[in-house]
Amino acid sequence: MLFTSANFLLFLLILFALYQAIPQRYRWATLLLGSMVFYAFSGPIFLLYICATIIVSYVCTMGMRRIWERCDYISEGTDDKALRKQYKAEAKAASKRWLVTALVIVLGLLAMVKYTDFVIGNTNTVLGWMGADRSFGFMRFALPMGISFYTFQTVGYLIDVHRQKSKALPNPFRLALFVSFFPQVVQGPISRFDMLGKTLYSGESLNGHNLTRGGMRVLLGFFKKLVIADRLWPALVVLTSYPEDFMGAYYLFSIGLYAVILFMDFTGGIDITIGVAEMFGIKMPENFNRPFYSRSIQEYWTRWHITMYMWFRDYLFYPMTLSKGMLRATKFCRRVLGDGLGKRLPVHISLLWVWFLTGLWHGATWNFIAWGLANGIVIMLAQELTPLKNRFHARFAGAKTNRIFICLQILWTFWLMNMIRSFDIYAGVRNTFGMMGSVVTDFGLGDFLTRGLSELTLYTADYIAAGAGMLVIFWISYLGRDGTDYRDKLKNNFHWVARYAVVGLIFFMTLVLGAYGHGYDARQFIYNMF
Amino acid sequence: MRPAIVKIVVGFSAFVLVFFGLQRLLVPKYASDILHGGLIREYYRSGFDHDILFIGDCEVFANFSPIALWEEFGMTSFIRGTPQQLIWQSYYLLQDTLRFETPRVIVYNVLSMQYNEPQNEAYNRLTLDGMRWGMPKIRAISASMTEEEDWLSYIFPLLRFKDRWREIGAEDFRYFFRDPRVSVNGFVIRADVRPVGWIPAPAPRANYQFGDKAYAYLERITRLAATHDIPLILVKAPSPATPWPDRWNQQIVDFAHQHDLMYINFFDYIDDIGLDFNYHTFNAGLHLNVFGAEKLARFFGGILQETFDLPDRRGEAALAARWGEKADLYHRVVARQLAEIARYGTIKNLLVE
Repeated sequence: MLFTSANFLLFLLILFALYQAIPQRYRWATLLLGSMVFYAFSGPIFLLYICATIIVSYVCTMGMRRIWERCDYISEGTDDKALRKQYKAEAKAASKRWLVTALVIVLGLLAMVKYTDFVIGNTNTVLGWMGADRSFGFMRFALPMGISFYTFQTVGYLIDVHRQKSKALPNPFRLALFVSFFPQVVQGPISRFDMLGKTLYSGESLNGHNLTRGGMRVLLGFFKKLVIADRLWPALVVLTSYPEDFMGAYYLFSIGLYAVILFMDFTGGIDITIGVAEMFGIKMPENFNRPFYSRSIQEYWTRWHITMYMWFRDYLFYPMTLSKGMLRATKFCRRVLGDGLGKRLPVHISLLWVWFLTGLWHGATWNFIAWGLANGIVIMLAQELTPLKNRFHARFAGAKTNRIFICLQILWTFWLMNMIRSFDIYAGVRNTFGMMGSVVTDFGLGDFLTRGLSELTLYTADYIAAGAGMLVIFWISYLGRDGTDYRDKLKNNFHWVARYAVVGLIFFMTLVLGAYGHGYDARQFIYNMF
Repeated sequence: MRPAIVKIVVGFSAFVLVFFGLQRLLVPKYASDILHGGLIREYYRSGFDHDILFIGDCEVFANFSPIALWEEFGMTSFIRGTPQQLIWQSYYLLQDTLRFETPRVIVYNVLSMQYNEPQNEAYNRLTLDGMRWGMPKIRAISASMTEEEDWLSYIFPLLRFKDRWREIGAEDFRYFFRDPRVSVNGFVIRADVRPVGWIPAPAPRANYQFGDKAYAYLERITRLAATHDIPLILVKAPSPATPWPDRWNQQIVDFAHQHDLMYINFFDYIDDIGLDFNYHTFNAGLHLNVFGAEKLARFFGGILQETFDLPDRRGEAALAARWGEKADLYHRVVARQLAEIARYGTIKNLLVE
């Protein structure tokens, strides 16, 4: 069931009615029921996967909970610190066994459906290189909706329970709601239990404040998705389906276009997710913070898909760099390479490994792996060049606050990220590098200016509509430039007539200029495919 | 009133106003190229006093002239037909009509018996959008929707026609507050001539049997007419370019026989009617032009008068005045079209205004 479908709006209305009709303490159960129904729409068989994840997580976290409770109980009975420490170490080891069991099964499910054919395909290629005349058949597992997102969210919960950051939920159905909460299962954000759990089960009554506030955010999500992303999408399909016809200047146009589409599509989806949750009084983490204003790639990744970045940082990068093995490796490197590079090299290795996995998480293709590694390499290079950067700023002290310099940094970061994102849209790593190279070898500005955009299946009116939409989004982004939510800005700084007019404008622009209904193919969110 | 309530009332009123304003602006006005989307809605302004009701597809709205029936026999009539109007749409239009009046005779043109399933969204729209809301319309939509259609866009046509923002023109503003008039009592006036040329032999079909659904609705039309004690006549208009195989004709003959209905295949009476397809068709034999339609109406009117003893109502002063105005308009439009043809070689303005 697409967020941007009439069915979803009808589903929401029914859920609102049921939710409100039920006593507060059971309302979370309505959300669970709604989530399961929503998930079943993607294919009833997929319920088996998500239920397996829930059951395994429940059994294992309850196992951990019992261990930690026993540890606490025994520790309370003694004043001997050494004994307490020993109990804790034993409990940690036992809890770790539950954690590893859970991770193997939960991540194994993800690996099975998402990566089996990737492994088979590569194995067949290697066998072909070796001259073997046999190959393995593909399994062709259907990918359950949002499996990458709910799996990572569940893994986060499992680790938090193991680390005693969160207490294991004794009610399996509550855990089921945390894993499957319908707005976030499509494309995240990847929530943490200690944050989402605070409001997920509160059963807050529907009220005008939440409904209008959440509704405004949902409306903005529809606007971004339908007026801009989906309207421009057919042009991107043409540009990337026939790359040999659209090289050089067209390539730059394509990656710029993709940046706009991906941003509008992903943030639009997240707006709908967070907005729907807000309508039920549930607070979800923000996933974006005006990423195209980033002045470096490091900053970009603290503003774009924030929850994913933080997940990899907290559950993979930090544990890895602080692991005993890596600390030993650091010691060894410092001894061999000296304090500078010797200290940084293990961090770079961890960084590349994490970005390799980030790429793999996005999709089982070499393109995504190349995308991940490209991010890692650029961040690594940026870190290596930090001394040079520092020397530059010491020499030109005013540059940091110079508007032109800031604009150049923003533009540089934007286009650098666009180049890296090329791996998302072109088939094959070699092709992608070929397209990048075409900027130098075959720029073809004259060809671009002559042919223009006429071959991209869109009319001038489509570009005007999307352009008008982008202006609205830019204005809204500008409103929130000091970090204040644009809805608060509208409420506090605008007369109610102007406020209503703005909301009305966004609504009617979506209604009239949106790419939906007759003549359009309803399109799932891009991140739903990851 | 509290300020919050004032804001809500004002906001909601503005929302409704803008929504329906936009809808009115973007929905096609059917004032140029395709006029047929305006045919069905015109019935509701017709006065609901008709002796004869024609239902069917394009073979009714172009082939029978209500003005000729009035001027020759004093019979009032209305045509409820649109291009490719499916039989279940005709049935629900008949139901719809019977909510407002009880005609003395119902005439159904049988060409659409060939369709047993919903065909085309564009044609559905021409028929269904103009119907006034009620159970007949709801049932007609349910029966007609193709897979690509949805209910919501029938309730709010803005959702279907929103993309017309690219092609908004002067016509959309000119007819914002009123609909253009496209017919005289459902009859589309065409005074131009395009003779029948070479007509290719119709491709043989695997199956000539009319479908179950088509038959079921023909039965329902028959029953509905009988329930209201209104004679039903089945007709097949004389259109040489429209395939009407003998085996189809025979099925209608059999049906009429079984149900004791009158069936007239006008193609059998070309000479009696006085039709010459070098002069009496505007699109190479698919439909009659106004002169052919007048001839057919005079011929058919004679049969109706003879068979059903329909009264000559030209003596009813109020009715005569109203129909006099219609006839004046009709003749003015025919004269204007002839003048345009003489001057430009084609009709520039097809509206009946």
